[in-house]
Amino acid sequence: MMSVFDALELAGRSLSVQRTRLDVASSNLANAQTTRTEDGEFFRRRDVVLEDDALAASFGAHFDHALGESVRGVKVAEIREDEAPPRMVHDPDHPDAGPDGFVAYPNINTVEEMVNMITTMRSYQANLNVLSGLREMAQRALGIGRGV
Amino acid sequence: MRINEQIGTQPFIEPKPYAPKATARSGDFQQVIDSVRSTMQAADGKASDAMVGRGSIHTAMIAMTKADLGFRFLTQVRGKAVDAYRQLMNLQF
Repeated sequence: MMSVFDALELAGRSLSVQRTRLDVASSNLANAQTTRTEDGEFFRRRDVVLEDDALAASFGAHFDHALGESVRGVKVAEIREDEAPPRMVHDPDHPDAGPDGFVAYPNINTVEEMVNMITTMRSYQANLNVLSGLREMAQRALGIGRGV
Repeated sequence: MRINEQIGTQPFIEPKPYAPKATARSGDFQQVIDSVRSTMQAADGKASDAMVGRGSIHTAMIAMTKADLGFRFLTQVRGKAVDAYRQLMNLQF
């Protein structure tokens, strides 16, 4: 049984995760035209991998998880680099062009990033609705005995 | 294995008459007040962090919601206690 504060914490973590997804999408969009990086390679698109997570680090939480009776939070497992090849554009005058005259642009599709951004914002909104639902429930419960 | 199923197989326990051993002391309520105060202080810290751009807005709002709910519950409990006290004071003999 979760307390109201645990449920708030759960929704809050989910909001933080969605913020990270938006940060990564914004980094991808910002670097869509980048042709050089510190390690000399082309800029690789980043992707956020999510993982379920224990809500609390207590023994009771682990026990509940072992019994399959726990409510699981979410966390960012890793920020993975996309292995797709770069987008090669023929532009011999570009300072970063190779000997064959091709420039390696990042493997970022702007439309795909925009769609990711929209799904991220929808998830964020859904979790905000969870929060307002929780607050509403708690406030209604406080009204018990006052004629509701 | 589910805990609830295990409980269901327990032999029936005879109900005992209600015998309160210890009553709540004023120190217990003081502890609750202190913990509500600490959630409010945490909310203050997170709010000022968010205002200068150090923390995220939702973290601050959630901390403030926690403090708000805790304080509302505290005032409800205080109201009930004061109500009970008034009822006793109005007893006529």
